[in-house]
Amino acid sequence: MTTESPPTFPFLRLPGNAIKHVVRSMEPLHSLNLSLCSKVTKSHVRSSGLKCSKFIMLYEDPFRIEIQFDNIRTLILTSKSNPLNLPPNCHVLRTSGIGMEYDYFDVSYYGGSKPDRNHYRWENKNYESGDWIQHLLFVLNRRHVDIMHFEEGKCCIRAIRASSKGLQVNSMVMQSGTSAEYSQRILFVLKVFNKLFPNNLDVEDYLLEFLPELYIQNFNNLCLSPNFKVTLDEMLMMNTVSLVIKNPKLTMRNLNRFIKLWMANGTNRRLKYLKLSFFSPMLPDHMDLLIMKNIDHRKNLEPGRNFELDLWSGNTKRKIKGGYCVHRKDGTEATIFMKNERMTTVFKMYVWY
Amino acid sequence: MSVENAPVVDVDEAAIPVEKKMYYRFESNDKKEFRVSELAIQQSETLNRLVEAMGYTSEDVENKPAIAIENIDGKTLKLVFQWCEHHKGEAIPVDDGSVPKIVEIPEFDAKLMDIDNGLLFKLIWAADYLNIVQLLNVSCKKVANMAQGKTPAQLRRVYLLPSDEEDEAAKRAAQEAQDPRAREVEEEFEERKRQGGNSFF
Repeated sequence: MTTESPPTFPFLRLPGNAIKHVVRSMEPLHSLNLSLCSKVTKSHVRSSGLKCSKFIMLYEDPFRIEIQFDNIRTLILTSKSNPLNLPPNCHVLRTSGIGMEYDYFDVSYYGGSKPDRNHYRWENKNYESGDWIQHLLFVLNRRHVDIMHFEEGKCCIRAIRASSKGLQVNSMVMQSGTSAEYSQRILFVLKVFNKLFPNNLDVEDYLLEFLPELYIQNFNNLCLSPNFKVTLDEMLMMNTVSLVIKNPKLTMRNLNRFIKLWMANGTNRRLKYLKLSFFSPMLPDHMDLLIMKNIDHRKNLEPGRNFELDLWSGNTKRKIKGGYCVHRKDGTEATIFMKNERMTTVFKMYVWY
Repeated sequence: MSVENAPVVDVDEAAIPVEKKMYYRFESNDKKEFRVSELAIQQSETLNRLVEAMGYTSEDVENKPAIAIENIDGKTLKLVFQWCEHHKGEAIPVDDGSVPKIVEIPEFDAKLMDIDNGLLFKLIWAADYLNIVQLLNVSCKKVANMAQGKTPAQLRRVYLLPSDEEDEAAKRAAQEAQDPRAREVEEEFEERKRQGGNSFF
């Protein structure tokens, strides 16, 4: 019966509700294939409510985009033309004779109810790397990139700028061992040209003293390496939710002053979690008393209180016991700890909202 | 067509409760008549509401004319009612909004839908019109499965998708058909632009 029928189907002549049903019933990879057919199908795929749980861009060799839909479905787009690895003196986009005329991606897909092991190649002569990313974000109903991962020397800075133009990024991760200069350039490019700043920044070993304004960018999570010689004034400027500083140049007196200023209701209004790790033990058994000097506080006698925090690596839950409780003028409570752990002294502050 | 000659879709008598044993008569747009059990009709929200509103008794069903379904032909309606009879009494699935939507096509449905794409197209229209949720789910899943292993270029051919340029041309043609003056105005505008005029008006 079916053998005589032509292998075509007038998809767009279906009723709107049925079109939506069809797209929703497709594997996400097939929906994305469909979205590349025309503006109309692109719009249908977006309207179907397709979403992903993670969108990751890896500026490595080759450039890759990883899209995780759920626990069993992951799509990896690998740029085969490698347009992002041009030398820095090249113009990247549609420059005659150099680099790419168009991007294309090899597509691998894992998972799904019927695993699709076919090999796909996406091409669009009108698309550059940035267009691909915008297309994907558009049809996936997503405004931001979850993680941008950088590996030094794998992608030229101009290409990174072109492909990340206008993007919102939650987290930037630099490959371990990346030089300070490269990190600085990336941050400079993303900041200056795209007005882009991530919500979270994990900066291990990069000196960013030339960008002091970085501190006031309202990151959700900021983790600063020992190379940042963070002073009390700088710490007061950092309007972050979670702040981790390794070996800051702070004294106990500075900490005492920080707590007082926080209690006076003027600084670090978004702060939820603060951790300062001092690499050399900070003195004596009575350090608590020095830090809490002239501060209205009481011992925390509660048996255990659940604290939740969204770090870029995921949601963290902790049970808080002990420490000292202080209150801000507006009534917000914080629990403060100070203790020696092996060769480091750790100061922690949990703010309860 | 007389009631006696109306095709009756396969019915599993034992599965129908005695008190529900009432058959309604429906007529397709090509005057083919079908007798469908009340329980099977419940799979279609549209038909279920219709027969409830009509409040027919068993005598009414026999004596009054068959209920006309104007925009579905006999071939399609036969498939629809076969499906409804097979799935009568089953719970109607509730859409949880998930994407991708998980739909399994049972063996019976797969056989029923072993039809040409033209008829499948009509079946989906009918399922949508009659609001038969699960039939719409499985038939749309069958169309979705056509995308398996197809590149965007192949999908364009399979789903008969016009390119953006073709869409634009069709849109322009439709506009012109609606307003023949639009083309002239556009040409006049272009001409004035070429002549260096700052303003059209």
